[in-house]
Amino acid sequence: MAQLIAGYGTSHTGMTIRKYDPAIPAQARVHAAFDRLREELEALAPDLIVMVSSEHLNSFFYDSYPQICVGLGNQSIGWGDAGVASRTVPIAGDFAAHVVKFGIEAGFDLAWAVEPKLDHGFLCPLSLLTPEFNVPVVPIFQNSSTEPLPPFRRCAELGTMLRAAVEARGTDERVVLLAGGGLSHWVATPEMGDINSEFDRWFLGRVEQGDLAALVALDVADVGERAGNGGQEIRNWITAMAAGQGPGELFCYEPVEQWATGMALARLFAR
Amino acid sequence: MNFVLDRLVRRIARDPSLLDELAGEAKAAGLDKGDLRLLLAKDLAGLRERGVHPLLLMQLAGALRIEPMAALGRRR
Repeated sequence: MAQLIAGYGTSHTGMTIRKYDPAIPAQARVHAAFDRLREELEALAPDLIVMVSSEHLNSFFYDSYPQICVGLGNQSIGWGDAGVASRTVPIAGDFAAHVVKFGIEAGFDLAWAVEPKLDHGFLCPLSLLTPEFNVPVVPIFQNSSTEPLPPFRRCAELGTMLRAAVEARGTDERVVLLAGGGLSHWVATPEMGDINSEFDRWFLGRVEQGDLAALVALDVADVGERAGNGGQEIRNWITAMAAGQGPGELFCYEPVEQWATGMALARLFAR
Repeated sequence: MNFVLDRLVRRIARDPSLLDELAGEAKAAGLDKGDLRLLLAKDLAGLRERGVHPLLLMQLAGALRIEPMAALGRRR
């Protein structure tokens, strides 16, 4: 059977690339953490990456708006948005189709799209972690931006289902789960530019302890209040945490003022 | 949420030249006249008050080369 060998979480703001100034220590530390994670991925040499992230009204809009959508097919291209260059991303299409089939049979009503374009929510971390784009990806879009938002319990259930889907796979792929998004940031609101380090550190403390129960108990509206509308992207981390067993290890946390975001990278679990 | 305005803002974010022919577009889209004025004025904060989705405000700011923090943040 396939194996879930590790899970990671990373922030995904395009400013990590578009506005990177290596002379600013906090930004340099974030990039050092991306370097560390990239090296860890290279050592693990996964056959594919299942990536749970959020998109930003680029791939989906009001004509068809899924809460959770799995990308199928052979390859996707990037939107080239938010200052992150467009690239061609190989899709692990057979594995993606397995996830959809498994999920639906397990009672998880997944939407799917064939070769959906990917925005910076996917392309920013992938550009820094697999710059050759030589590891096939199963992109999973999770709504983090547009109400009604799913409760965090449901996001954890998605992670549990993903683990079961991996373990039900008859072939022997080695799979890494990667979550993209967060931490606290406010998008196009009067608070834009604020970072709630207290919330971010509390959240990361739960990551380090593997305390999924505390995160699942979070209230969606309360997270929006304390971590901003952009902070809702922590749900992708919760999905990945639920697929494994902590404790996690924090690679870095930096409230990067110039990027208006609490930036973090962490290993959420290892096999 | 303001579905009518959001749809139009998303189109303009992808093709800013639509602003030049906005009067016709706005009528066709059933847009409120006040919303039309905000669009023509590129008033992002005003559009926010009218319920435009935050992500679309960011896309519009990028398309119109407006610094979003200056236009939308409280430190503006």
